[in-house]
Amino acid sequence: MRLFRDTNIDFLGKRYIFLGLSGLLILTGIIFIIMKGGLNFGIDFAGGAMIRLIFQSAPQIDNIRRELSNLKLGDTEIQTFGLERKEVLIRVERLIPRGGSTDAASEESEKTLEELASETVINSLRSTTGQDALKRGLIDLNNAGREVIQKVLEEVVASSSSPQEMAQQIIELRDENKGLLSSFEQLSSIPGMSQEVMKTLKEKSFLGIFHIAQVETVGPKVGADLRRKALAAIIFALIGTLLYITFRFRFRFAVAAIMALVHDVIVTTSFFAISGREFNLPIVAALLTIVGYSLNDTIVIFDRVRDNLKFMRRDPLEKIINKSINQTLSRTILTSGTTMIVVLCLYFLGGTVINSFAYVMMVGIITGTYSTVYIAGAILVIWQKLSPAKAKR
Amino acid sequence: MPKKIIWRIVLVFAIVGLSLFLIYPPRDKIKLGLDLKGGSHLVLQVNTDDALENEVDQAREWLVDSLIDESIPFTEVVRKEDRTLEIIAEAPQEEPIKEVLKDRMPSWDYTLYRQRPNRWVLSLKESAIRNIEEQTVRQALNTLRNRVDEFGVEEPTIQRQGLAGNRIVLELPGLDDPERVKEKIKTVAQLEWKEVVSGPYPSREEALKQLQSTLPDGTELLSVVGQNQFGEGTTPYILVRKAAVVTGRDLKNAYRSNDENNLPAVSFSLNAEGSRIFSRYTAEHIGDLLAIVLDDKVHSYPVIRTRIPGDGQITGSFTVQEAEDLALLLRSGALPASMTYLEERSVGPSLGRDSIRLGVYAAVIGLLLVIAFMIAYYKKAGINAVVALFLNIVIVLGILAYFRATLTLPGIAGLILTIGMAVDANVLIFERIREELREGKSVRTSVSSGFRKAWRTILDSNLTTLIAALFLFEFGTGPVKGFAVTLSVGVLASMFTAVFVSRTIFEAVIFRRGPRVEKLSI
Repeated sequence: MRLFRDTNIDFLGKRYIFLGLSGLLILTGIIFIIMKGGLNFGIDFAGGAMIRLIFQSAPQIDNIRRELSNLKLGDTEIQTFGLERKEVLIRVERLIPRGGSTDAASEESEKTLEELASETVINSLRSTTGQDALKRGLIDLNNAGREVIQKVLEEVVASSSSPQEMAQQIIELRDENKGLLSSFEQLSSIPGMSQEVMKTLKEKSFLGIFHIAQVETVGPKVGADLRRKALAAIIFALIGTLLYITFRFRFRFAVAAIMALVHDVIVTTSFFAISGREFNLPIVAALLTIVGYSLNDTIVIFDRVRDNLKFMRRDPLEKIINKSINQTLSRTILTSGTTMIVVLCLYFLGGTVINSFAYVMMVGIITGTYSTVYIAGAILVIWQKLSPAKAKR
Repeated sequence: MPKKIIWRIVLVFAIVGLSLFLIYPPRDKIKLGLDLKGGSHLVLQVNTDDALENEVDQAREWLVDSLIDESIPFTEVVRKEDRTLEIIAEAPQEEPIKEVLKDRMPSWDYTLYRQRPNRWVLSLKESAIRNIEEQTVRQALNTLRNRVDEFGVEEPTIQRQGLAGNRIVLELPGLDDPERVKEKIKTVAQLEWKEVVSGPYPSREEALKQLQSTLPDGTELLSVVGQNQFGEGTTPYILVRKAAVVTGRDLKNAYRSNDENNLPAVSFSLNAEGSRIFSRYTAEHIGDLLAIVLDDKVHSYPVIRTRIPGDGQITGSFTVQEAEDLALLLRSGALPASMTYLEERSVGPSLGRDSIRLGVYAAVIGLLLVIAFMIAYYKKAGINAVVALFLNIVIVLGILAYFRATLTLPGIAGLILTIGMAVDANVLIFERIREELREGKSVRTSVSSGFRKAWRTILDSNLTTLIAALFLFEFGTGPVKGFAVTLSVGVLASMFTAVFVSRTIFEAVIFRRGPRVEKLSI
């Protein structure tokens, strides 16, 4: 099977059109990002709290929203996930410092704003019966740890079966059910679960309406640190590759490749901003992967150009580059295709956590392939027209 | 078959065999990251200012004592907000005061104000400040290690962030109740001496029975861990007064020593304020029990035999190590540096399980699609690429297992991505071979020159990816690092499998087909 039979597409002939198009795309992207008030930084970079809860049954989002806005913590964002919308993600940013006048605040003064916010959110979302139960000293069997459960069991469990093992089994059972037990009857399968133990559990614990699956809090200082590090990673990666390409090829090749890269990063970031997704650490990783990927693509073509420069000394650079792009076209499309297949799998099947990551990769592969074919070579040609290089290598 | 090809095959089998050996059994060998296994990643800041404040307070007391010792008359030693001390002396006695300061306050700079006679201002030396900060962080690290050990966390990581600085990173895999652990970790070890009201009792139930189920006002029942007269398997309880006689804040120092029977013990000394209270209390309570309480657990309850002025000894049945540990614990308990959580990332095990399931699912589907595509497009040569791809995955996992690298969710994404990118090298080679064949070269020449020409491209393109991954690793944190690791290992492994392994397969196949190969399925 062959996709492209000796293609001879004039990629560079319309170079000004494509460069203009890219310029326009970049400009729109930047304007859009500015209009949106910058990127939608996640808590990694902005600081704040993120809580992921899994509910027994799909909660009323409007209620949650109302509940949270009453708390006046800061900007809150709520998203639901999963087929039955049982998974809820809450983000709290730009936290509003609380007046230290209330007793609770002064008592826990050593806690950071972010910690307090996440605690407040979690407590406010408990059902009223759950809140009462906690006040009466009952434990939430859907969130308690092994040690706490073990303490409860220790009071009743006969010496024959160890309360530690039993507590462990309760936790295992809970984990297998996405962290949630829906009724005490589920526990009857656990060995050693007698009537008496069940009775004590029912007395001393209750089943909360949600399981806390994930909590992240990032202080503003750490957020700023992470932001700086991420930026440094991208800039140094670009400089590192610039040096490498200059060493292996020529300086102008390096500049052309880097310009194509910057193009990819900006376009991808703009698309990301348009999607309104949260910009966090894994996204930086994805962007850097795009840098590596697109570079990979560009290098393959440049490598061909380097080869062809030897055989086609008489021909103008434009023709040489065009030929190189055509020669490697099937490889470019094939590799993009196979990578795209796996990224699509990640996007549709990889789960919520990895979804944004896959989205960036998706956009990045498309712009990366496009910039490889239409931008990097075009820049080389224009540069050549402006200042013809001496025939080197 | 030529020796060269045989050797190549042997090498490939050896490497793959080694990788398989390293991976097996995967459950133990592949370390899962916190996001997959569940657990907490915490960044704590040690508030070293607390320790400095404390140092200034203690220095003031020491200075007052010293001036009295040397019978230098003074009106007052004032502790200022900016962590300086001011001596208001009664007479201009420059020389004796200088002497005292030099001898007793070596870590302090001092100036005498000429315009305001008899006033000395003392400030901590830069080096002393750095020293105190350093020690505070070290003690905090020690305390955290002890505490984390108490929770029985498997393979915890407790490290300072960077070489200096006051941030500590904790990685606690497999935590099922992060909130509670977080709280317990942060509380500064609370050491208290408390008056024993009654007890000990062999168990809580027994204690409640004897007390007729009500505790007298202002008392509490605490469990005893250090000392047990009721035999194995029991946890004695003791009733103590809630208000402590003296707390760890008054502790000046604690170290391992020996008691009169030459058995390991822990000696401690209290500061001026603590000594005063302690000495008066012990004088009034000779013959009573005094409980030494650490984090709400009674470690021992010695009988007060004489008035204890300010230096005391805790005896009990310690081993040398235990005495050493208790002394350390007391010292860190006396350290009043609080800690603040700058960053927390906690994931429950159920979410991680979900992520693994979905990640593996996506990987398998992606892999199958890529395989189907490669075979459809390159026919038998596609099978060659698929073999290389599988070996690539095995080798990557083997290397990860060998370096005990952790597999995180972005790590899985990196792995899946290398599946996509690993075929790139094969595509490059195969396309080159096709080109050579189209130019009418023989199968043998086409294969060898295809590999030769593609090799340079593969090297350049993979090295650039590697450079990007390197920076990801250097500047990335946590999950991003995990991603960088799998990506770079994947790129390296793919250079081996796509080039070396594929070529070996090609050559072996061509050799078996005899000297004249007319067609190549590619």
